[in-house]
Amino acid sequence: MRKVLVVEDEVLIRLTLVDALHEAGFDVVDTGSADQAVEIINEQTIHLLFTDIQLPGKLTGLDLAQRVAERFPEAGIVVASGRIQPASADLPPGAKFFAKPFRFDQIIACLKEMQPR
Amino acid sequence: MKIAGADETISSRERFLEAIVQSAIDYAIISMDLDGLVTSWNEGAVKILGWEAEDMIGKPATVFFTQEDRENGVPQKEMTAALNRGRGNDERWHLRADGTMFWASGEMMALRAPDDKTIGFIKILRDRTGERERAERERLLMHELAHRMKNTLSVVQAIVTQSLRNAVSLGDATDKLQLRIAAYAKAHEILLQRDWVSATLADVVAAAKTNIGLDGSSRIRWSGPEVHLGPQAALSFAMVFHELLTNASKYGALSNAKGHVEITWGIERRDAAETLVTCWREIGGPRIANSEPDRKGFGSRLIVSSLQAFGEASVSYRQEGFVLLAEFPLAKIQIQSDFD
Repeated sequence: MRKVLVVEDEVLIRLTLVDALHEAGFDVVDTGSADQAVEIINEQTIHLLFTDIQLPGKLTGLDLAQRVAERFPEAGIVVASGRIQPASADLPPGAKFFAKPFRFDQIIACLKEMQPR
Repeated sequence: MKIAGADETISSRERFLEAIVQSAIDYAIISMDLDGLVTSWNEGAVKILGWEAEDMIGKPATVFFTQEDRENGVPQKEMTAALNRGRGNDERWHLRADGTMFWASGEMMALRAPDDKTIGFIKILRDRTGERERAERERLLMHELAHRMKNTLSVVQAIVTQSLRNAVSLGDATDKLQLRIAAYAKAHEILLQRDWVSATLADVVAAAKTNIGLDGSSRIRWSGPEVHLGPQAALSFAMVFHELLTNASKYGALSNAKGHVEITWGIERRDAAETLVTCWREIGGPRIANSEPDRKGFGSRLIVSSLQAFGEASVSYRQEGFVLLAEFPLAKIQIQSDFD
C-alpha cells in the first residue's frame, strides 16, 4: 500500500483529507508541522507527500517538499496554499500545486495518478 | 521666491506670477538651467524638501534624488524626456534635507524662452507619501482579506465534507453543518470585535454554549483567570468546545436532566514556561460502561488533534463521566500570526 504523508496545520482540513485518503485505499501518516514531518521522513519511507506551504515552525512546506524529493526521488509531491502561488522553480520536478480551497477528490485523483518517477 | 540672477527690474506681471508660485506651498516648484543647476526654489520646495532657497540656488537639483537614482542617471533621464517629449515623469522616492524619504509625484518640463529656445527646466512635485502608504495598506488589506476568505472557505469545505460523510440522515447532516459553521462564525465574530488580535477563553466558551442553544443554562460552569488566545487558537478552541458540548449533549453529562459540565483553567509554570492548564469534567451524566466507548467519531478526533496542535491533551472515559485534561504553553496559544 502506498504511504502518503499529509502535512497541514489546519486540523479540520487535515482530518478530512486523511479520511478521504483512507477511503481511497492509501496508508496515511499526518502531522501539522514541517519540522515534525522531517522527523517522520527520517524514520519512515513515504511514497507521496501532500503539504501546505505555510506551516508553523522553521521550515515551510516548500522546504519540506525539497527534502522529500531529495530523500525519496521517486515520491509524488502535491503542494497547496491559499496565500502563496509558488514559482515552478521553487517546486521539485514533477510536483503539483493546488490553490486553496481545493476539491478533496482532485487531490486524491492527483495522488493516484502520480507514478514513481 | 529666490531667483538666481534676478537683479534686473521686475515688472508687476512678473511679481504677480511670482506671488502665484510662492502661494503654491503644497507644490515644490523648482527651475533649473540646462546643466541642472537650481535657478529658483519656491516656498513649497522649502516646505517639502527642507532646504532653504539660499542653500539650493546654483546647486545641482540631483541632491534630492536617492543615491540609487543618481547612480542610475534618473535626473538626466528626466531632463532628456523633458527635452524630447516636453515633459518627464517624476514618480519616485526623493530625499529631504534631513535624510528622510518621501514619495514624490510630479513632472519635469522644458522651460522655453519667448523665442521657443529651451533655457532650462521646471520641476513641479508634491509629497504623496500619505496617499502611497494608504494605497499600500489597502493593497495589503485586500491581500489579507483574500487569504482569510480562501482559508475560511477551505475550512467550511472540510466541515461540509465531514458533516455529510458522517451523517446518519439528511436532517442530521443539516444540523451538524449549521451548528459547526455557526460555531466557526461566532469565533470570527469574537475575534473581529478585538481587531483580530485575540479572544478570551471565557468568551470562546460562552459563544460555544450560546451556539448550541444552552445560553442561560447553569449546567455548564467555568472558572479561571482571564486568558487571551491568539486568532488560530481561538478558532481551533471554538470548534473544540463546540464538539465537546455536542458530545456531552448526545452522550454525556448534558444528555440527561441532572448532569453538568465543569470547565476550569489556570496558569502554571511548567519547564520555566507559563502554561495554560485546563480541565473539562462531565459530572452526573449516564455512567460510562466502556473506557473506550464509541465517542471516537470525527468530533472526538477533531478535539484531540486540534488541542495537540498547541500542546498536550488527553481524554479519559471514566465511569462517572468524560474528562479532558490539556496543557498549552501560553506563548503557543497567543501567537498572532496564522500560517495558512
